[in-house]
Amino acid sequence: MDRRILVIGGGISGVQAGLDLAQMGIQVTLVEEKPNIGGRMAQLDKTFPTNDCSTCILSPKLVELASHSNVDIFTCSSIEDVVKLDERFQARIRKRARFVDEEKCTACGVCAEKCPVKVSDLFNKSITTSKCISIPYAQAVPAVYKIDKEYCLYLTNGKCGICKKVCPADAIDYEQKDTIEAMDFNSIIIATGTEEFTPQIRPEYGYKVYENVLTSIEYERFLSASGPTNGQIVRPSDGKLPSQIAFIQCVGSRDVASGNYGYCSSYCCMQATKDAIITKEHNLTIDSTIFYIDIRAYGKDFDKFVDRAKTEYGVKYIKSRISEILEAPDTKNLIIKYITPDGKIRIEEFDLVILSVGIRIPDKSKNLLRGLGVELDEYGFCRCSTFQPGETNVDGVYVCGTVTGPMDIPEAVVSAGAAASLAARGLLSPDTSSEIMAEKPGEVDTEAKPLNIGVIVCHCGTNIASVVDVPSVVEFSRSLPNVKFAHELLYACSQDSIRLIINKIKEHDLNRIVVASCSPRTHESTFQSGLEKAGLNKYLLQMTNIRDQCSWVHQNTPELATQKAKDLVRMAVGKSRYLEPLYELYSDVNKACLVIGGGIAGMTAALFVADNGYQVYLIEKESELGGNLLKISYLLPEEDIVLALQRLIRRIEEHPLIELFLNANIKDIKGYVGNFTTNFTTNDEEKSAEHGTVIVATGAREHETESYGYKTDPYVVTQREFETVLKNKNPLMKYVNSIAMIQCVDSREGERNYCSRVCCGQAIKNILQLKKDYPDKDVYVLYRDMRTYGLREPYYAVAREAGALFLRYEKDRKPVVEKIEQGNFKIKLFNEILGKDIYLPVQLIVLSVGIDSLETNGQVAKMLKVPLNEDGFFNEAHVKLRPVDFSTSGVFVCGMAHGPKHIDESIVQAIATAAHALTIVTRDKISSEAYTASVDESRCSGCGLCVEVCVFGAIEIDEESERAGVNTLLCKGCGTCVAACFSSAIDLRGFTNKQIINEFQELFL
Amino acid sequence: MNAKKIGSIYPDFKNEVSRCPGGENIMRCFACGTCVLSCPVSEVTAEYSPRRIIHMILLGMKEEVLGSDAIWYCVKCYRCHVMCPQEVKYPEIIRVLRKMALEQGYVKPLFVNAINEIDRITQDMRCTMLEQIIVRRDSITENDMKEISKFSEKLDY
Repeated sequence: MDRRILVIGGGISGVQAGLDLAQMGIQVTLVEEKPNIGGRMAQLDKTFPTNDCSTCILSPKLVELASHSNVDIFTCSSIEDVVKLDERFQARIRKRARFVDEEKCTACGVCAEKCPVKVSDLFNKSITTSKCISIPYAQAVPAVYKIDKEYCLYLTNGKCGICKKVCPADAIDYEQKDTIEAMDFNSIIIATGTEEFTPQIRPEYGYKVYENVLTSIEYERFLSASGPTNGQIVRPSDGKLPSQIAFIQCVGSRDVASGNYGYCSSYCCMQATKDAIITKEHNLTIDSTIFYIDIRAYGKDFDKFVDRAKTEYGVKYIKSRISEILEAPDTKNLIIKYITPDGKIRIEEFDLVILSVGIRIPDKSKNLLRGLGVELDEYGFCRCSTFQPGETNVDGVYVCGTVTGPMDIPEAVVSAGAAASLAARGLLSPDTSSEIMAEKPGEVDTEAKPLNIGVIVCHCGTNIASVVDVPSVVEFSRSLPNVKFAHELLYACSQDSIRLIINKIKEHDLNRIVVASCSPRTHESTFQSGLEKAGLNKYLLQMTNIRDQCSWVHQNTPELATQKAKDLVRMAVGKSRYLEPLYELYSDVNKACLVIGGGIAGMTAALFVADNGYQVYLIEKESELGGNLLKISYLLPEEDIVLALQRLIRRIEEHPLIELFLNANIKDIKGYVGNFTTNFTTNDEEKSAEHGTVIVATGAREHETESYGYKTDPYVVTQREFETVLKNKNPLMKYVNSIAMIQCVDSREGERNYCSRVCCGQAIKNILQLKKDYPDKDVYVLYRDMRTYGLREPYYAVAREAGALFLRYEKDRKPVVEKIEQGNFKIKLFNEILGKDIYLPVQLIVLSVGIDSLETNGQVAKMLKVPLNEDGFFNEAHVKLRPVDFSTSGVFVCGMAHGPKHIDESIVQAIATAAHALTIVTRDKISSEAYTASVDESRCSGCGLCVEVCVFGAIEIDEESERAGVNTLLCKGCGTCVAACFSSAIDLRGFTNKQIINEFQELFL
Repeated sequence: MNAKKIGSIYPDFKNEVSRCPGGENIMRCFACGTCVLSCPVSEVTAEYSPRRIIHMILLGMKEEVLGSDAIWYCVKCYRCHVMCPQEVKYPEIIRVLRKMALEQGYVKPLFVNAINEIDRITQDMRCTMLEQIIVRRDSITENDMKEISKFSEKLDY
């Protein structure tokens, strides 16, 4: 039976869920309301904390999804209704008319150029205008234009019709109607996301009244090179460069008074930090100040990012929520009053103000969710229970991304993987392998034949041809040695052009093809498939980009652009003479999975892999399962943790496909994706397991401190110990009237310069439990920043209302504990609000000590050839878009091994790793890249430098021959080793020294 | 009245305030400082801080709060009330504190009357001055500005 899943929402979480499912071999229908997928991430300039370009990392994912054979994307579409029939969902999808044929449109842009109607450019937050027929940005997927029917002259009153006349692809269709399609699905993933808070609700900030007040997302568009100002930072009022920018945090977040926004939007502190850094990078003369309530840099390496903003980029952070903004009428500067760290009120002028707006669930999504019967919380989020993240109250309906609560991009990606894993349950099995390898037509043997090069030069509508003299480039190509055929095409990528190329290959017996057109990033696969159909090895194609590199960047000097196009073609032809057929290697996949660690993350990952029918070896070093969870008694929100844990352990123990090894120690792990062998001991018995994937879930542990008299006084305890005190109703509570909790003990400074993420929530949880059992006991929380991010913020409010008193301290003015006698302390604390020291008499001190990575991580990392960060936690392949993968294929990470996190976050991540492991084990064979490194053993000295620089763990020094060897299945063809090798012993297939040297020799002819 | 007293601290003072109508939300305060920045009194009297008063209540500094000059400075303009993200309702809390101060003998009724009279006179004076300025709205000179500023110096009652 057809296995098909509906994904609603084409933002990063929907896209990721779709990709994960497609790679498991499941059919995906993705429905997106907007004309293009990519969501809010496509509007961002860069991403924190690495400042990667957002579009650059997102676009490949979008292209990959759109070109995946298992995926159908419905844009301009929405869900009419959903009915559950037996175990399946029948959904009716309304596809609104685009008035442009998606199959025909080549995104050449002639229509928009000629369209006489200007409309507000929504992608650029209406800062600028676009045409009535438009595409939001150059890399949009699908790359298809759309007519805005509200404003189109032809569609509104039958006049104009210019776009239809000028469209070279005949793609304009004014007759297009909305269509409704009914389809059947096994399950549904909802990834409808959120919208930004409208700052007009806080009119005191003057948004849309003062010209120089922008929202954070508008500012992202200003920063973006593809934005309305081409990346120039200017004041909207006068187009001048600002010199002082203020960021105002928590606009529409942590604000119960202007609406129901009692939660924290999670990402805005880091977004402001990133934008302030990028601003400085754009122009050194611009200074930024961030006004905040608490800086919530709770993620991995986030505190270090904030530190860099302060020390390297001079960003000022001032703890002062801004009450209102005034405008200087003459300069349109903005006047902000704030409280200085020493309690003074200061007034300062800024020439640009950015409001860090929070997010909320749009009413439309609420209606969709409610229509499906999904329960929502008081804010409209589909909040999931701790132990069932991603699951809703409706069977077969799953959620991911910000619809489940505010989160940043990696968390959305993780939750998408989890939703994919959940939705795929029951649809996979080792017997129904997903990958059907298409038989390729017999390839022509090109080895012995003389070089017959074909050159195709593309007009790209007018994109290239309006600047570059295409016919002269074709004429020039014909003059080059070995070129047997040269031809120009209006759109080389269109279906009939590809057919023409195939015919010409056969007709002229061509065995190398050069295409001078656009970017191989978007179009290489199109031309490669043409070569394959003509019986040529697809790697005998060489593309050269005469659009971006010639017509776009040199549009004012057409003659020189044409000359450059000729040079580029000559280089491409030069390289093509040395192209060789390349082949992907295939290797069998062992379908078992090894999970290292039997805590909550490891157990969850093991169950999700095993529940889909695949063998799991679960290895735990202790004598029982459960890990850190065994020491936790309460949860926020309240749930029965003991029962949940017992159930989980029982399911693991009873699962026929999970083989559990306790008291286990790994001795070594050998092999590579699809083919690992692990030797280990269990209860001192030697064992060995063969498996295709590895999930690292080794966890972390509570930090051991000696600060504030811990270890010398039984009345100084950790948060976790305090939890046990509360649970056991320990008699010591009789002698305790007031309690001080000290946050950030040994954290966020010195050697442990990171936030342990969970401690603020842990403190709140313990306060609520304390106040439930002992309402009269006083509790003081001494904190640096309260980091109850996302939907944890409302619990912070509950704790305050329960009477807990929160007192802030600065890193260099720590509280001083004076022990009067055992169980009787006086804490001296500088109170910045009173401007003086205060003394708190307390009987119990509770320390939030945070989380340490395990010392043993180093050994595991070495065996698996995966990296650790400087704090000893495992480093994922990419912080934004590959948060549970390692660069080394087939190895995944989840839980606190990756960094401190809450239980529900560990579980989500674990389910996501299961999804990624499933994308491998559901295949019978895995293929390598064709572009891989190869070692010339006669030149290799065995120095091992290449081994060190390879992030994919693909190179090893053979112990016997003492020469480097590349594991082709792990090699990604990045070329780092080639550059590193002193002896020039390594070459990269497809980019060999010979090929590149010949390419460049042509340039210097 | 307060059973519990540690040193000069009344840990229950915050509950005492929160039990009174208007004082219910006092413990919601997360000390963001919006009230201070929105306050027209803080603007002219740097020592005056609504946030500090709330903080002192939460800390249980009952005698300092009820005996303070500060609780009589509020002009009840409600700007802080409108701008506070946590709906702490500071002007209502001031109403509660002033009533407590009177009932618990920190001030005498005539003092409260005097404060109310000053508030009334201040408004009266403001309107009178405004009337004079408004009729000359198109011909205000630098000299007028000086005269207005000088006026506040004469105010030493």
